[in-house]
Amino acid sequence: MRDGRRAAVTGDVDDGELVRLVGGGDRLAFQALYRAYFPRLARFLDRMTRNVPLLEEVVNDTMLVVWQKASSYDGSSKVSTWIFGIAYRQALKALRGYDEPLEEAPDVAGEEWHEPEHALASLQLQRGVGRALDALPLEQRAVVCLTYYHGMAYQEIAETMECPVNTVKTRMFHARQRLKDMLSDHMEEIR
Amino acid sequence: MNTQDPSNIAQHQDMQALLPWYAAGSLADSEAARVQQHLRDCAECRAELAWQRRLVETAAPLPAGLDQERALARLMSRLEEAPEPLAQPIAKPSPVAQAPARFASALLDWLRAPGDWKGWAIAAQAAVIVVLAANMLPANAPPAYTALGSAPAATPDVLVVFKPEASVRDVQRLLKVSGAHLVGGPTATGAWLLDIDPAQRTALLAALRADPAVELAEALAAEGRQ
Repeated sequence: MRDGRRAAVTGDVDDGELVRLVGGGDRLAFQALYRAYFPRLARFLDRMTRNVPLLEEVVNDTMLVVWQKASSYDGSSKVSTWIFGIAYRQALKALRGYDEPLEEAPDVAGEEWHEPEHALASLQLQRGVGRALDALPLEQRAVVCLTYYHGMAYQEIAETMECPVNTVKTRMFHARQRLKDMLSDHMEEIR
Repeated sequence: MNTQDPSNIAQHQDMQALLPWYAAGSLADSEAARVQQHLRDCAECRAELAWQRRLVETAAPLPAGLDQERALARLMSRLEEAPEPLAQPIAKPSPVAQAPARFASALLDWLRAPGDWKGWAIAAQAAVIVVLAANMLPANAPPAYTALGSAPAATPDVLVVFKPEASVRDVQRLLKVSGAHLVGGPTATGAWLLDIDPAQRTALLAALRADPAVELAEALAAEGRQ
């Protein structure tokens, strides 16, 4: 039943229209926007926070800002870029109180990592990449996630993270080096 | 490609830098065409592209324990206290809006506590109660989210999590005694959303919390119910 309702709300209304309605105080539109963005924000913030209750809180903090600022959204960037930018800043704010992410992942070289069969199950690669990503500095991790898992162009990532385009490319360059080092076993398999 | 030529090296580096976005399909057409051209002559970049494509496919599933509807219900209650967008008339704060603060924080503590047992316990409980709820939800349930901008969104008054050992009879008894209506749930973590008489909220919450069948009862500030 709820799915049917959701479809009715989100049907043909695009994000920009939803934000415009939210700016006018439309709570139904807000709920539709929330449901549309929750999974995407959760995926991004899960990578950033590694903590489910915290990530739900950051999603809510993000969407609260969306609610408050929707009327000033001017359409100069895509809605997704705007919302992800808010989420990124909220995540940085939330994580300020937490320990910085590890620069090196001590468990990457653990036994589980060097499973003898080197099976190329995608699940294994997925886990490996997940662990390798966790070991990256936050900024690099954000660039990688937004590129690989959210299909964002580097210009959009620059907007989201409020940094120059070249900084995005540099962060990606360093992240790739790190991922290569940490995932060399998996890389050999595709060569 | 000729790796001795400095201009080729620079071009190679430029193109290689773009491969993640090429693999993810987010490059502008003109740039994608340049990368494509370079790939024809550069075995190193072709190998790198294969690797980048593998990485693009490694999106992990969402973590267990996420509960979108419950998180949304929590946020909707916060909207009451947050500054409204300009176009929105200021809603009168509910006199009991502050009351749930303690329980909200208790709920968060509980959610933050380590251990996976909650998910399993709740899943088991939800499996039982979902059958019950299907029968108890009114056949002509109010269209909470029917159409965009037509009416204020229905916001449930109270969120309840029943204990895993709560029986169908317990739940029926509670609903009957309290005069509450199930308006939603179970959320992903097994919470149920109740609609109650706002005048009775404080007393009802106390009763729910005191009931042995109830794990948690949290007020969600209601709107449009003055």
